[in-house]
Amino acid sequence: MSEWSSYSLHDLLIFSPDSYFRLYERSNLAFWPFQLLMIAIALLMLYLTMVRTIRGQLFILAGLVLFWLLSGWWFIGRYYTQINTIADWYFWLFMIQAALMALYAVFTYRRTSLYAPAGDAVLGVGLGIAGYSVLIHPFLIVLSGRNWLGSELIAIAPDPVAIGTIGFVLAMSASKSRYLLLVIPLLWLLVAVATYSTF
Amino acid sequence: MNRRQFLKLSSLGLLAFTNLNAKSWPAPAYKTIPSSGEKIPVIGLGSFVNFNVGNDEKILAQRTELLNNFFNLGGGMIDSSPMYGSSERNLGYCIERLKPVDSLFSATKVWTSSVEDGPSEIEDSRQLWGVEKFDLLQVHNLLSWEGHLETLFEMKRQGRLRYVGITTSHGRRHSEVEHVMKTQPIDFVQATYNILDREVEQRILPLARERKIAFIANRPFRRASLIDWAKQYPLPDFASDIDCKNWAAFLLKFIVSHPAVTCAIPATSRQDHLVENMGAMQGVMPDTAMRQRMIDYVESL
Repeated sequence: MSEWSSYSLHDLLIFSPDSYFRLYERSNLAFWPFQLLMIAIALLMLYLTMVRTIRGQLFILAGLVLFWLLSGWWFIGRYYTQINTIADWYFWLFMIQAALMALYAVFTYRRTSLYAPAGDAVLGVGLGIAGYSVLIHPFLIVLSGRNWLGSELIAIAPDPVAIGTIGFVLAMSASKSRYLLLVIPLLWLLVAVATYSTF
Repeated sequence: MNRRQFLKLSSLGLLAFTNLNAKSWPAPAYKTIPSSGEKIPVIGLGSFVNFNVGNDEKILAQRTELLNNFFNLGGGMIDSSPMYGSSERNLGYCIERLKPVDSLFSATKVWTSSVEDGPSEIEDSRQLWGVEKFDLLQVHNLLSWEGHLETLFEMKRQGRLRYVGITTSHGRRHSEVEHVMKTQPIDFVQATYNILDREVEQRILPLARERKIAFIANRPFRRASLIDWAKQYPLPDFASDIDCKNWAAFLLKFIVSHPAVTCAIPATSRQDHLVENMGAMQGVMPDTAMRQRMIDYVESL
C-alpha cells in the first residue's frame, strides 16, 4: 500500500497526450459521416428539453442511452482500450450507465407531473450544461490547439456525453430519483480530470 | 564516419541533426555484460509510453523509422514490458518490417502476480515481439520474484532465454533488490539512475560490480522532466571536453560512464531526440573527476 501511494498519477499513465488525442482523430474519421446524424439528434434533444413534453423526455433518455452505448462501444471499446489497459472497465461503466438510463425511461414513462416549474433554476443550469456539451465543447478542443479532426463530439467522445447527461438529466424532470443517473457521469468526469491533470 | 554510416545517415536525413564531420565519428561505446563477456551498446531504447500508440498505422510507420534509425546509429537494447499497453505488440510490428535486425537485444519483463501465469505471459510477449527467444527477461518491479526467477532460470537452462534480470524504479525496494542480487544468480538488474537520482551509487552499483551483474539505468531523464528542466539552462563550458553538444548527451554520458552501468534506456518518439540520445555513445567519456563536475554543475542550477 505504501509503495502504491508513492506513485503519482503521472507515473501510472502509460500513454502520451498525443496518443490519446490521436484516438479522437482516428475514431472521428472512421465514424464519418454519422456524426451529422448524432449532432442532429443532440440538437433535437436540446429543443425537446425546452419544449418539455413526456414524449420529449422519452426521446431525450433514448438519445442518452444511444450516446452512452455508442461512446462506450465505439470510442472506449474500439479505440481507448488500445492504449489503456484499464479501459475495459470504463467500457462496462458506460454499458451500466446506458442500462440505468433505459430502466429510468421505462419506470418514469407515463408519469406526467415530473417536470420542474418552467422558471426553475435547475432547469436553466441543466439546459446550459447540455448546450455546452453539444455546441461549445467540441470547439474548445480545437481552440486548445489540437487537430480539428479530433473534435470531441457528443455521442462519440465520452467527456461531452458525461457532461451532456448531467445537463439533460438536471433539466429533464423534478424527480429526485434522477440524481442516481448522475453518479457514473460524475465519476467519469473525475477520471477525465485525473487524466488531463497528468498531461 | 565510414562510408556505410555516411550513406545511412544521409538517406535518413540525419546529418543535419548530427552535425558530425568525417573525422568526428569514433566507434560507439559498448560495455560488457559481466556474466558472459558479451558487449552491448551503452544506449538502448525504452518503450514505456512512446510505443503504446495502439493500432495507429500512421504513427507506427514513424516508429518503424525511429527504430530503423536507432539500429543504424548503433543501438541495440530495446526494453519493454507487458505493462506498457500496446508497446510490445507495436515493437513486434516495427521489428517485423525491419528484419533482419542483427543488433537487436530484446529485453522485456514478466509482470503478473501469479507465478503460474508467468510462462503464458512470456509466450504471449514472445509472439508479440516476433522473436525466436528473448535476450533478457526481467521480473518487473520484483512482482512475485521468487517464483518467476525459478521460471526464468529454467528457461535459461533450456536455452530458451539468454539472460535473467530483475527491475525496480523510482528508488523503490532497494533492500529487496540487494537481497536478490546477493542470493540469486541473475545477469541483470535494472533501476533508476540519473544525475539527480543517485541512490544506487551507495549499494546497488557496487554490489553489481562485486556480483558481476549488468546494470540497466531506467528513467535517465525522469521520463522527460529532468531534461526539460535542464534545457532551461546552458550547457557548461566543459561539456565540449566530453564531446557533449546537448543536454541529452550530457545526462546520458554521466550515467553510462559509471563503471558499473552497462546500459541506459531513454525512451523517445522523436527522431531528433533519438539522434541526441545516441550521440552519448560517441566521443570522450567523463572520468571520475569530470563526473563530479557534472554533478556540481547540475546541482548548482
